[in-house]
Amino acid sequence: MEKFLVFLIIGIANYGAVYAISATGLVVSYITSGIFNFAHGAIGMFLAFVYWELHVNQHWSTLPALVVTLLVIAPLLGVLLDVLVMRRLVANASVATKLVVTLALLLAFQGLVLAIWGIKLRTTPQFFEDRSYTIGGLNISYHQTITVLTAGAVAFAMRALFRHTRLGVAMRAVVDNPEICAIKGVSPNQVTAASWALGSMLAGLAAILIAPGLNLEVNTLSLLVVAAYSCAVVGRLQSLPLTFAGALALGVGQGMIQGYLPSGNEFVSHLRPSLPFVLLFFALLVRREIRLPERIRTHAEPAPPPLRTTLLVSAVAIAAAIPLSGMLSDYQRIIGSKTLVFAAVVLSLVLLTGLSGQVSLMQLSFVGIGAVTLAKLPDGMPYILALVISTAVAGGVGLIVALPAIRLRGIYLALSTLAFAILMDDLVFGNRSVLGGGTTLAVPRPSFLGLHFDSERSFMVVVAVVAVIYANIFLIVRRSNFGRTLAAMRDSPNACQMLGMNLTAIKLRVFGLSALMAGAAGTLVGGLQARVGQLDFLWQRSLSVLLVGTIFGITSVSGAFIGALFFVVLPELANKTDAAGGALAIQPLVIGLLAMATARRPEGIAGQLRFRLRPLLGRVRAFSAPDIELPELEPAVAQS
Amino acid sequence: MPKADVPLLELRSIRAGYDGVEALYGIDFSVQAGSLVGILGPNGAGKSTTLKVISGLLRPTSGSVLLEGQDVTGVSAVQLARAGVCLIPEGRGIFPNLTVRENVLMDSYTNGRTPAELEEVAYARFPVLAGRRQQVAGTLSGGEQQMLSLSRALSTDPALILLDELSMGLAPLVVEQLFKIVRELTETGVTTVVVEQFADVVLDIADEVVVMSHGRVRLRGAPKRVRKELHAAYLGKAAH
Repeated sequence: MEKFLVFLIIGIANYGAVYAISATGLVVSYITSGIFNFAHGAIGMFLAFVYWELHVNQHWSTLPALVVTLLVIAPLLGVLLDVLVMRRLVANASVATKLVVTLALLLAFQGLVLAIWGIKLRTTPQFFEDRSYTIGGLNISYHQTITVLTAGAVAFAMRALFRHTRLGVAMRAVVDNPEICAIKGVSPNQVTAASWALGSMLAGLAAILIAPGLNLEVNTLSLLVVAAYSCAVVGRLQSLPLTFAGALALGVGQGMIQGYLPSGNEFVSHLRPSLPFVLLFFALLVRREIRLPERIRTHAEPAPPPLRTTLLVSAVAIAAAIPLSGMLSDYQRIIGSKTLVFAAVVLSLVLLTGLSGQVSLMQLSFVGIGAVTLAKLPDGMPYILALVISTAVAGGVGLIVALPAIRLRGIYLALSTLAFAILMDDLVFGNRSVLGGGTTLAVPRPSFLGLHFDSERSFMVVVAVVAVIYANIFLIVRRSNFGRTLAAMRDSPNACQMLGMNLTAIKLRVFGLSALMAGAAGTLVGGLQARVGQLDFLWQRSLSVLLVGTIFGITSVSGAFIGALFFVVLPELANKTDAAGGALAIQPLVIGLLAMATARRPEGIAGQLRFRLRPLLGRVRAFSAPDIELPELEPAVAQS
Repeated sequence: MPKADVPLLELRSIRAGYDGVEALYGIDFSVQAGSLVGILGPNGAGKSTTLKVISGLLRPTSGSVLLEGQDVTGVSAVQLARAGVCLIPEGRGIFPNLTVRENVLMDSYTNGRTPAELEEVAYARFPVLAGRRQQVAGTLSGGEQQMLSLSRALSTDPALILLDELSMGLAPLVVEQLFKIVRELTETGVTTVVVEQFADVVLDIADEVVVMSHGRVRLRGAPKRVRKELHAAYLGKAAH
């Protein structure tokens, strides 16, 4: 009984209460802005670092450090975010754009914190040091007490705000219709600024309360607050009491796992941190779909080039790869192969996100499945057979994951793919029993028809051929009836349903195809690196791939190739700088900021370039156009 | 008290548009204090755009808006609302996800009345709303939503009411009821501009009528005179 109580208290105070504050903040910012803020945790993480800086590094005492962090810096940060990012977003952005921007913000905050504070692990002290008191034989710390009381107070305060105050009502009204707010004499800008200030304060509060229980570190802290997503979904992004209940249940569940399941087991040790994502996945499955109003997207998409051009370009590219690969150094060949492999990965996402409008944060999980399956297959197996099996496994898992996910749209779909990616990180790629006791697995390079593609040069040629095939697969799909169906589904799912299309079957097919492509590309990612491990398939990398695709054009082949080059070259450049933590910080910061800047244009930088270059190309063509003498035409109507 | 010789509202050669597409090509008209002016015209005539300019939602590209002789061009919608300009916009000016009570509460920013007083005025005129206080406004019927929207014109004592397509999508009986209230409002001395596609209902109650088409004023005058020339004006022949 006492053991039960001990872990009940741990569950409520160490986990549940903090999740409650964080999730309440998330729901409050959704209610008051209409934007599901994926960066909510990262904002909190940033503020926890600010608090650490003031309290630990600058030796301020607790209260002034808290006041300055939560009552000065947090609201300022919120207002700044509103003015610079969110306000422009609310007006006309599609759900996918909003998603990408807050995801980019998440990455940018991670980069910012790394840039300022580096990657050193830090700890923050608990409130009132480690003092505690005893009730009925149970030892409870002051910090735990404060956390629980704060969670309760925040929940009640927010409920009162929305129910009984004019500002609370105005905050919700602005989401409904800012123009009507204006004609009722309520400034929408002031209200949204207040909303984001509030959201940012709640994010900071949760992070500061939970930080002492963990190390103050970028990933743990942003990831841990990702747990708040699941509680928010339990509350359907609307109900504060349900969110609160979900948070407590989740916390208690984690406390019980910690207390009662055997601690030596590899699977169980991964289960406790994974529980929020299991909950998120199931909460998404059982909740009734709330149809968010959808905006019909309109953007001009260049027509795919004619088949003849595509085939010609493909043949030239492959033919060029053979002599070109001979001229490069091995280092350059590795960079080249890496770029081409990632171009293939991005192309699988171009099909899914660019063409079909399904935002996925799990693409690297399929890459990982492909690579890990290939590595686990017996050495004697012919490579081709192993390749087919690995690809099929990735495609199969893709279908299984897609089955529940395809009911969902927009943020809910993105959340479920995120939950899956994190589960895969923890339970499969980070699981030593899967990795054969080590932290990485060896993956062979291709060999077939008696040929071995082990040298960097031959491998680069193989990868070039694969990338060209991928580009052709995408273009063939896009020109096909299936491709037009996908584009129609992306632009207006409702209209498709009215036309009697079976969206479920269509989505299943595209998810499956995309997972197949990612899985096959994964075998090459494995071959490229020779060894793969958890770090290669982290959800943050899926996020980076998605954002890089968005920056350079998630709708086009050229965008995929340029994006992949950027993705590969950026860390190489960053490694050359010798700032402390700089290399790690630059990538997320640059990708995050660029993605925020370009998110409103789905055609990306590649599309912009094409647009800018077209007049130039036109001039070239006009210059080379044959002079045809036009016959003088008789006017059809006699002049009067 | 407004000066007798200065019109309450005056538009001087207003040009306006959306994203570079012009919608108004120089609109001139004035509204005397205490009168009811109807703006008529076919789809796309620029009627709603005119109201958006008056209420401050849309900044004109040139020309000026005067309230009681004072130039208010470019003043924000929020400030104009607080100064007593009350726009009841096209297509239900309500917050669909807020309850009826919360919708009324949002009216309390424009004048000194407490939410309780606002509710009292609204429910006195539209008793059906009283029974739906806690109901989410988006689930009301079209007519009830328009009543909720119109209640602001009654409860906040505005100086100028702008009604945009009050009749849109409503049953004739409801339209009749709502316009009866508008007429009663005018009799209390409040100045009103009514935009309508359906001319008859406005011609019956207006003091003066402005007919617009293709972003220009085609015809102005007393309802009696306009009624005769209306067909020609709608078809764009009034300019000769």
